[in-house]
Amino acid sequence: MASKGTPKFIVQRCSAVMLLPLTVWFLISLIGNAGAGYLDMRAWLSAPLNAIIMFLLIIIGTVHMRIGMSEIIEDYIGRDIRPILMLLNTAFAVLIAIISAWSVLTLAFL
Amino acid sequence: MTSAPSSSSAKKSSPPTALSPHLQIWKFTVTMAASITHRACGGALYGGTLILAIWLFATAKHPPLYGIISDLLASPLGLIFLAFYSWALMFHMFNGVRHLFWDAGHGFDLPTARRTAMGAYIFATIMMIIIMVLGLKSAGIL
Repeated sequence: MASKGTPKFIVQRCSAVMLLPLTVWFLISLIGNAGAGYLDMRAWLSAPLNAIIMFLLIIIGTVHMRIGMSEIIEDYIGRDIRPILMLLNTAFAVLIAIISAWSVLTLAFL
Repeated sequence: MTSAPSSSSAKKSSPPTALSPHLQIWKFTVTMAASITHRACGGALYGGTLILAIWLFATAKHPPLYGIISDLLASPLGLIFLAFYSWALMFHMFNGVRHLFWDAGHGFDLPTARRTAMGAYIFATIMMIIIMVLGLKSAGIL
């Protein structure tokens, strides 16, 4: 893992900075849509700008959370079971990214 | 900690890597509390993305599931969950900014680190209240 340390450090910081405005947008959006019915929610998420920002939040967020969890695993888990947890961590992040991104993109652009 | 490296050292391959000391050995200070809270919130947000993914899927493909999730989130337990989720998100964001300042070489002296650690807890709590009040008003519950 040592050779991957620097890129991970940089990607984690860059994604953190990008997530700041995305998080503010996400919160304002959730507050604005609180209590919205199914059709209203669909209409909102279908708007191209909303879909694109949500897509960015998903991709950058899953990248950030995967690195964060890998650092927790490296700090607290011994080498013998570390590889399997690292694999599960990546699998979870990819699964979340695929389900979310596919949902948003098919709703907005198909 | 003692059991973890046993199998790898038995094989005489690479030596076991050092693990971080766990919570129980630290004297309680607000800066260490903020550090572990940052990780705990990150872990909680990590799990919370599963709900976000299911919610996005329901919005795109599954109206009945959307109804179930909406009802669950609007229930008392759901609102408590949303309050905790908001708190975790706001704490992790504020404390993340602390980390970014440290990386840039600022705010690492102890008085500043203590004050900003305290600030993270206060910020998260105030923001949680604002978010919940505005959200409940927007939903017509308040």
